[in-house]
Amino acid sequence: MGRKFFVIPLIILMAVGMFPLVSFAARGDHSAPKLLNLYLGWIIKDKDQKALAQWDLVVLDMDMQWQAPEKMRQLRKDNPRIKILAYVSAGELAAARGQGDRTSPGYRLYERVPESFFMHDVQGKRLSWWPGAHLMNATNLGMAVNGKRWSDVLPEFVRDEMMSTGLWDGVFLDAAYSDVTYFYGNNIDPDGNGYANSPAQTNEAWKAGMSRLIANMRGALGPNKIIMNNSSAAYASQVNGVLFENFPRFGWAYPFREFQTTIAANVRPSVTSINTNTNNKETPSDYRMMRYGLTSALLSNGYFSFDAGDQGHERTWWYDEYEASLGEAKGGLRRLAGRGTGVSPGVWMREFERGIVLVNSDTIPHRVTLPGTYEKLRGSQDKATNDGGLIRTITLPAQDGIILLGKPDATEVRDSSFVNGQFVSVYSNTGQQIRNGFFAQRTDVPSGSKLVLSDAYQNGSDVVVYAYQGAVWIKPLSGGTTRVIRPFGYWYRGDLNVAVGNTNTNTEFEIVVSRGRDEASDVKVYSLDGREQAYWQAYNPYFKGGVRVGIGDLDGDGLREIVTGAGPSGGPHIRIWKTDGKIWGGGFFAFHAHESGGVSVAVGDVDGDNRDEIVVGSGEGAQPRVRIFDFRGTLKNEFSLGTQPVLEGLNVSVADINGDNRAEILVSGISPF
Amino acid sequence: MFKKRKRTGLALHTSNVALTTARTFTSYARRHFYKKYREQFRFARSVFIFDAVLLVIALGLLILNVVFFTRPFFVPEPGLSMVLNADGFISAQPMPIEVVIKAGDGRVHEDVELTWHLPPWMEIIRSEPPLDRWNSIDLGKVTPTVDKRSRLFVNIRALPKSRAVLSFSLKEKVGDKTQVFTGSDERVVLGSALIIETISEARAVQSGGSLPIVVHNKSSLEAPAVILRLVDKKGASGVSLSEGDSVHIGDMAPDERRVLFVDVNEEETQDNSELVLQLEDKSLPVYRLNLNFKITDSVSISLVEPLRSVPGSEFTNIDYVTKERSGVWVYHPLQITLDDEAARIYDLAPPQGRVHIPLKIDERTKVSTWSAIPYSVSQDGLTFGRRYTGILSTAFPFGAAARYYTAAGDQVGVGPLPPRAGEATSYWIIWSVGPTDADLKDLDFGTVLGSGVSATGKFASQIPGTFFTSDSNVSWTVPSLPATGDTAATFAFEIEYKPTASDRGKVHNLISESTVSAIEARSSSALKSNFSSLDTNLEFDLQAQGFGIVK
Repeated sequence: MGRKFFVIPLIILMAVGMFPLVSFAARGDHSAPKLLNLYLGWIIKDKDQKALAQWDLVVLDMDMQWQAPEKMRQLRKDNPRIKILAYVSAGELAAARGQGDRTSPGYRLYERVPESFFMHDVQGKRLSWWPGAHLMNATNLGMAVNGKRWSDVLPEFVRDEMMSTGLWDGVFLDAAYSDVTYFYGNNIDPDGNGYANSPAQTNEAWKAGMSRLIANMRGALGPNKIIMNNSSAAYASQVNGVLFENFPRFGWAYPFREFQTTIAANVRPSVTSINTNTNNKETPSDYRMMRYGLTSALLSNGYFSFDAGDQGHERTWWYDEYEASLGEAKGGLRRLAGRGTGVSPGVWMREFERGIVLVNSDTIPHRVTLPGTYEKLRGSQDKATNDGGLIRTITLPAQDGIILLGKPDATEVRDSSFVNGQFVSVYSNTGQQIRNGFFAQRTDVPSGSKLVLSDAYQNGSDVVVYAYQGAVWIKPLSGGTTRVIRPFGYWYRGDLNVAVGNTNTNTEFEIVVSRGRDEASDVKVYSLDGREQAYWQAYNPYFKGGVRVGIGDLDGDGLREIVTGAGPSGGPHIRIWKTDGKIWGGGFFAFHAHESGGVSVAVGDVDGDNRDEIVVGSGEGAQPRVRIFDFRGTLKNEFSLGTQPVLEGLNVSVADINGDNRAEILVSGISPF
Repeated sequence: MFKKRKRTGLALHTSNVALTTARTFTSYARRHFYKKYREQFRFARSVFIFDAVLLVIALGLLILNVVFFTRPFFVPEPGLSMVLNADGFISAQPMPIEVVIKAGDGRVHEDVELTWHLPPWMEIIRSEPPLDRWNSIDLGKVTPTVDKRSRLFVNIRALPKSRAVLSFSLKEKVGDKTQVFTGSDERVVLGSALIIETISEARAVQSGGSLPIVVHNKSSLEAPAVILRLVDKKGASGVSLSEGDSVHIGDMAPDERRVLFVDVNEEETQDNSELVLQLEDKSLPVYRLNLNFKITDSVSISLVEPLRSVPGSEFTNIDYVTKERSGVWVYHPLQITLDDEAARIYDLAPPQGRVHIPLKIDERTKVSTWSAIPYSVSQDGLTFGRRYTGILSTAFPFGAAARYYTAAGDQVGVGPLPPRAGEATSYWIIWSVGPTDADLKDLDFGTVLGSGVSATGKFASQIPGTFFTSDSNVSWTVPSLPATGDTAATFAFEIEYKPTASDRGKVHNLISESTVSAIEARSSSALKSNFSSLDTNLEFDLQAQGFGIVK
């Protein structure tokens, strides 16, 4: 008896565990801004293949599974977290489907549909509003065939002929109207008795029928697939998302309110989306329109789509704003300016982890004060709006929006060593300056110390590890005792360099410390409780330039390597070590061997390839340059920061300032003044 | 056989002439045989023949001895000549020397090898072509039309008037034999590039005084490990150099002058003291100087102490009191001198006065002291007095700037530019100290903010210290600042200015004069500096300049 009580819950637990609910992993964590592409062409153009993989959610015509399945698979390879929905019309059937290839899904669907599944007027003629497409009888009043109606057959077809291929993550139901008389008139005979039902009856029957269709679709596809519909928010609680097409051409406030309520009602995860477009004009540079829609979507956790319009959805227009990684939203929206109550015209703001979003839905510009200092994007498209400047107030034009990033500071520099108090400039791996520089100054650590901010104990609580006056200090930020390690004795007051990372199989990180300039090239590894784990010298005992250190996983095998860079009076030499001090691979010269000012090093994934690179800054008295190498010493990128030699050399760190899962390169050493 | 040829006329006469001598000899030999051997020995003929052979051998040896006696080297003449080209040798200076090898006998000489044999105090700096480790060079073939050369650049370390003997040996292949020839030449060391300069008129030094001398490396090369040594002192037992009887000067750059002092410690006056000073380069003597002077009573000149000097000033002053016609010898590393001399002399007029020492404003030095020695002037010459040591403080440049942008264009200020009434604009104020050549301590920065200006509390510096604001006062104390070398230490803080309506149309003061004080750690000298006020025109911010008028 006891055993049964144990076994049954276990079986239930296993059963639940075997059927995970739909969820999104990271960037995929489909984080803001979340992007939808209605790529509804008949083919995926070659030039669009790579670009399309940047979107989070893509809708492709149902025939794509037959037309180009390999391209669909390639999309998943390029973006493993992409979600692909099949475009299927729930309320209409295009005549063209019946003229296509007999093996195509569209044709096979058309084949299954008897005449009674179409909606007719009192004369018995099919009804059409969208050219080439006929309205289906989604009601329960039409004649069933073999006991089934359109609302039964369509979901079965989608399940059996489409979802079974494994190519789709769900379905996009177009023409899921909430009523039909608005578009098709009142002369509708849903029950085929030769008499038009009243508009109210027709619409009620339609809505009930469509609701049943969607319920059947859910039943057929299961809880893991995404169901999104167009044309109406009436079924919000049954679907994962609704598309608000042509937003905000017919006003902002009402559609936005509906957008909000729809998201709140959706089955989780919600993929309700705004589609803003240029009304079938080929004007991708209508940046204001794009921003207006995008920022409106961001106000309410929605997805966003921007294209040319219903005649030309399949576009891969990409914008500077799409690259802004805002992180998680913090709270709801706030009104900063405007009139009225509730959702009404004015300036609205929402805060995110790494910035804010503003929308001016009014017909006049508004000047608003921000809740702090923010940084505009450094854009390449609309440079007048996205000029990278720092602001505390902004005048937002009418019917426009803007994304602003939080101003970075020393708290953003994580897991990489920097000198407290230096001014750092922020570069991409290609040498593009992508953010304003800033003073990396912590007030809880002595100025001039070399520090690393890290969750070294891996318990969600940060510590600051800093080297100062010949010792290494480990200071928990949540309070507690600061531990001091003196790697080279109590009386040693010389220069030290530090790095923090995992050097063994336990969870906690270790501290790698080395002697700095004018000292021997000693490298030591300590656990957080101060026990020495390893010791070696990077060069022969006569070399007195010290070494800089970095730690990272250079070859993506899950094990860290320690990188040393020779200090001043040494050449620009790099060596790589296992964490126990054994040499790993060969060393190499990062710059010309005759440069004797040493180098600085940092280790991190600066190009998003999931492997850490070695970032090297030029040394004392050399022209300022940064080079990026892989673990073989192959040069991947380099950039120069001027022609005047820098007396003290460059210091390099790496940190993901932008939150885009790619570390930026922080460079200091060139006097900013 | 001969009969036949005799009958051919000319051959007959020739053979007759040729054979007559032979017949005469054989006739004599026959007679000698009959007389001495035939009846004396049993095997007379054999004995005769044996004796004849011995005689021939003896005669042959005799002839050989005569030849060797009259010709000592019974080998062929070498045919190679060596010519040494070397100017007069100067010690402690790189010198070129060259040997030219010629084939004067019209013949090609194979596998010729030259070896240099140089004195141990002659260091080879460079050779063309390169020598092997035995100082040899393979010249290969020397032909009558092509001479071979071996050129050396050497550094000679010997006293002037020393004699330098340079030897060479030449090897060449003759057949399967190797022949060796040697040669040598001699040169005199004429002088030295490392010398001691003295003040020619110096005749005496007061008891307890100092006599300045200058060691000068006139060479075009660095002189390594130079030592000045007192090798002899007669009548001057109390005289010494700064480290005793020798001073390790160290490496001297080309054309460098180093000032040193011969200190006369407290002792009785002497009419005649003789010193011999010797300069050594890599422990080898290269120069000697005899120094003669008297040791006298004190001179009646005094300089007002302490002597202080701060780089960056146009002058350093020395106040003095003197009863007699006198002067002061001054060595200051930043002093403007005549003809690149190391030191300068200034006249002093009784009874008192001030001497202005002109300084190079833009230069810096790591040297922390300077020296002045007063001297009296008489018909006999100069009498040097006590050496005064002045403190040379580090330069203490101090600057301040207000910034909205960095030099690279990063925006660090926030808010409207130009400032707008009713809205706040923030700037960063940057204080900079340096370059400095000495450690400083107890730095104290301060300024007063303009009206409507407040400190935001943000600051940044790589130097530990305490940033403090109170009302409109900003201060920053820094316990210590190591010498910055060629760079400057910066201290930055953020301010915010919110103009009022009455500020419109004007440039507004952001901070008043900035001041800084510090103590130089090595000398405990107090240093001070200041910088003028800063306003919204942002004079030092090229990108934001001119946006200073409040709107």
